[in-house]
Amino acid sequence: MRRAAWKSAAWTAAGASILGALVLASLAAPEFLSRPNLAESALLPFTGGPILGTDIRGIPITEYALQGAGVVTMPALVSALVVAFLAIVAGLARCAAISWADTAIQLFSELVGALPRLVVVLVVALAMPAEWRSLFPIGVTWALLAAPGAMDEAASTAGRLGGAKFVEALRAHGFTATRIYLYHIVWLNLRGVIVRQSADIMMQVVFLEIALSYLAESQQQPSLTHQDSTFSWARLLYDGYTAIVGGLPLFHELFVGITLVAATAFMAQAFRRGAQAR
Amino acid sequence: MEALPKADHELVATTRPVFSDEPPVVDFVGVSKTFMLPGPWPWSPSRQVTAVAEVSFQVAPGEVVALVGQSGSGKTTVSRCVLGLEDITSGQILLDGSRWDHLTEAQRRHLRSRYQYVPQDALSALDPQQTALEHVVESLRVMVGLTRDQADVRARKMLADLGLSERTGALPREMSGGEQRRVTLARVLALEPRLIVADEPTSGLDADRQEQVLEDMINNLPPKAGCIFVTHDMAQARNWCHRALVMLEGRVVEELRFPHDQPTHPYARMLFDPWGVDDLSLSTTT
Amino acid sequence: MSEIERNRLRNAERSVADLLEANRSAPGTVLLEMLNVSIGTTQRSLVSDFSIRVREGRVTALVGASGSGKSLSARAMMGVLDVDPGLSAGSLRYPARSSRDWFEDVRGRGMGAQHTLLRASESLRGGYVTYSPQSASSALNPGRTVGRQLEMAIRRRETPPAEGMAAAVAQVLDEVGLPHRASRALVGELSGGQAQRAALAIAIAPNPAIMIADEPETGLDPVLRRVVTELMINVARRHNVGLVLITHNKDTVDRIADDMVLIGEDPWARYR
Repeated sequence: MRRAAWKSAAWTAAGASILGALVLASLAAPEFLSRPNLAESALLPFTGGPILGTDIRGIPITEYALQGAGVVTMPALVSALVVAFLAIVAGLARCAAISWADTAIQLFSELVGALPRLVVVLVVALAMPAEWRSLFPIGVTWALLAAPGAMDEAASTAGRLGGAKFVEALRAHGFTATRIYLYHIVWLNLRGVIVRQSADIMMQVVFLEIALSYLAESQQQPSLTHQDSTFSWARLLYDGYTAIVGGLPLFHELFVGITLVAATAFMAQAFRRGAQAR
Repeated sequence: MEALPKADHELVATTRPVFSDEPPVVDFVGVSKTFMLPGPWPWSPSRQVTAVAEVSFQVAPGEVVALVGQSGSGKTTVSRCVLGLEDITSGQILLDGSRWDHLTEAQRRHLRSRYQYVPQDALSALDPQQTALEHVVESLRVMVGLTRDQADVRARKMLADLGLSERTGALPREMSGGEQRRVTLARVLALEPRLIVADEPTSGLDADRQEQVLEDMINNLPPKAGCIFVTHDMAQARNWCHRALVMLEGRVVEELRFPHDQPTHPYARMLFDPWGVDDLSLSTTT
Repeated sequence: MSEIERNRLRNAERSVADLLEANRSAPGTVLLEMLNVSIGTTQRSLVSDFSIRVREGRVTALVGASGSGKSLSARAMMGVLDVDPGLSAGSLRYPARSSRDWFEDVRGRGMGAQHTLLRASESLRGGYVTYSPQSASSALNPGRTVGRQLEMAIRRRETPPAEGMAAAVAQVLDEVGLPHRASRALVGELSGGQAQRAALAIAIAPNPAIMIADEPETGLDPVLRRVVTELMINVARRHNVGLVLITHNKDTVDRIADDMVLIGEDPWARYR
C-alpha cells in the first residue's frame, strides 16, 4: 500500500478507537451514581483509591466520565448519521440527472440554511417536556440545520466528478448502477466529504451538550440535555473549575474533563485526516 | 485527395484488412431520432427536431468508419444511438446480427464489454480518485472476471502499449489531456471489444497529439473489431478510416471509400477542401 | 486570384529558411522587436535565444510544437513575464514608439522586476497590442454583451471615434461579418463561428498596431478555420496591423504568412 494509504488507515484507526471507547463507556455507564461514605472517600486524588480519584462528594470521577459518555455518544452518532445520509442524497441527486431532486435539495438548503441555528436548537430544547429531556432531539435538530453546508459540498464534489456525464460514461462502459453510485461516487469520492462533515457534527453536538449542561450547572437548573439522575462531562468541568477557584484540590477532576473534551476533538480530527481524498 | 496534406504513415484504408464476407458488426437500418424541444413557456407547444433522418449503414469486422460533418449534422447523435445511449425513434440497430435497440438496459449491460464507447470528454469518464492502473484493473476484474494479479499484468501491458508505463500511478488531475484520453482508451482496449464508438477522440488536443491518439486507438484494435469515430476533420478520416459517411442535417449525403473516392456532393467537397470551393453557404457553423 | 491564393503560390516556392530570413531582414516599419530572449525556471530553460520582429501590415507566423514556449513568448512580447526567476537575456523594443528597451531592468532581476514591468506595460495591452487567446470563449466576458465589450475596447483607442460610439461598434461588427443585433447578445448565445468573429472584433476594435492571435484555429472545423483565417488576414491588411499568428498548421502558414519564426524544432520536417 502507498505510504499515504498507511497514514490514512492509522488516523482512521485512531479515531475509531476513541469512538469505540466512547460507545463502550456509554454502555457501561451506571444508571445512578454511587453513594459513598463521605469521610472516607471525598477528594481522593488519582493514586488514592478509585482509578481517577473522587470528587468532593466522594463519587468516583470515572462514574461521571461514563455517564457523560452515555449522554453524548449515541445522540452525537445519530446526528452524524443524519448529516451523512443527507450529504449522500445530495451528492447522488447531482449525478442522477433528476432535475426536480436537485432543485428540491437546493430549496431545502436555502430555507434551512437561513435559520439561526442556536436559536432554533434552544427553542427545541426548551419545548421538550421534562420527562423526555435528552440530547437526541437537540442533536438531530443541530444536524438538520448544519446539513445544507454538507449537502452543498457533497453536491459540488459530485458535480466536479462530471455529474451525469460521469454516470453515463461508466454505464456505457458496462458498470452496474450500484458500482457507479455506491463505489465510485459515494465510497471513492464522497467519503472524504461525508466523514469530515459527520465528524465535525459529532464534535459540535458533544460540545453543544457540554455548553448547555455547564450553563445549567452554573445556574443550578435542571439540564436540557439529560435527566437529573445523570451527569454530563460539564459537571467535571464546572466542579473542577469552581473548586480550584475556591481553593480545593480538584485539579484531577478538571484535568479529566478537559482530557475528555480534547479526546473528542482529536477523534474528529483523526477521522478527518483518515478520510482525506487523494 | 491531393488537396489534403500528405500523411506521414500508411493509410489505414490500405493496411488494415476488412472482413466483408463475414456478418457485419454493426447494422444500422433506417434509423431516425427526433427530439422534442420544449417551448419557452410552460404552456408553449414543444417543437419536434429531427436529429437523425433514416440513416442506414453497416460496419464490417475490421472496418473503421468515420462519421464526418460539422456541428449539428447529427453525427454525434448517430454515434450515441449505436450503443443505446440515446433511444431511437424508428428503425433497427443490430450488433453482430442480434437486435440491440429492443434490449433492456440490464440485458445490454451483459454485452457491453464487447461494444465500447469512448466519450468526447475523457476527464468526465475517469474517477478522480483512481490511478491510471486502477482504472484498467477495475475494468478487467469487473467486466472480464480476471483475478487481481491477472488483471494487473494485463493492465500494465496495455498501459505500456499506449506509452503510459511511467504514469501508472498518476491520478487524472496529474495527467495531461492526451494522457487522460489514453487512459480511457486503455480501459476500453483492454477488454478486446468487437466495436469501439469514439466521439471526437481528438477534440481539445494539439495537432501532434491528435495523430498519436488515433494511432493508439486504431493500431491497438483487435483485428476483427469494428470502429466508428466521429470527426469534423476530413483529413483524419482519410488517414485513419476505410470509409467516411458525410452527414448534413441528419442525413448521410455521401459515402466515400478511401483512398480512391473523391467527394462529389458540394457539402462533402467543402469539408474536404474548404479552400478549394468558392461557396461556403452550405456550412452550418459560420 | 485572391490574395490568399497568391500567398500560397508564393510560399510554395519558399523554404522554411526563406521564411525565417524574411522575418529577420524584410523591409517595412518594425513595430516590435524582441531579440535573443531566454526565459527559464531554476530547473530548466523554457525559451532559448528567441527573436521575432513584427512589421506593419505583415503577417508573421510563430510556429512550434506543443509545450515549446509559444504562448510564453507571445506573452513576453506584451511585457507579461510570470516565470521564476524568468528572463535571463534579451531585449524588447517598440521602435515606432521609442527606443526604450523594456527588458533593461528585468534581465536577471527576478519576479519583482517582472511585476514592475507588468504594471509599466499595462497601458500597451488591449490598446497598442491586443491578444486573442486560444479559445474565443476565454477572450470574451460571459457576463457582458458583445456590444458593451466592444465599447470598452473602442475606448482604448488613442483618439475617440469621430462618428460616435454606436456607429463605431456597428462598423467593427460589419468588418467581422456579424449582424448589428449581435451587439445585444451575450457570448453564450453565439454560435461557434460567431464567437470567433466576436473575439476578432474585440481584438481589432482598439485600432491596435500589433495583434497576437494564439492558435485561433484550435477546435474549429475545416470550414471555420478557413473563414477565421481569411477574416484575420483581411482585417489585418485593412488596418495595416502587424499580425502575429501562433499556429502549427502548415496550411495556414502557406496561405497567409509573409514570414515565420520557429520555436524549438521544425514541426514539419517529416513532411519534406
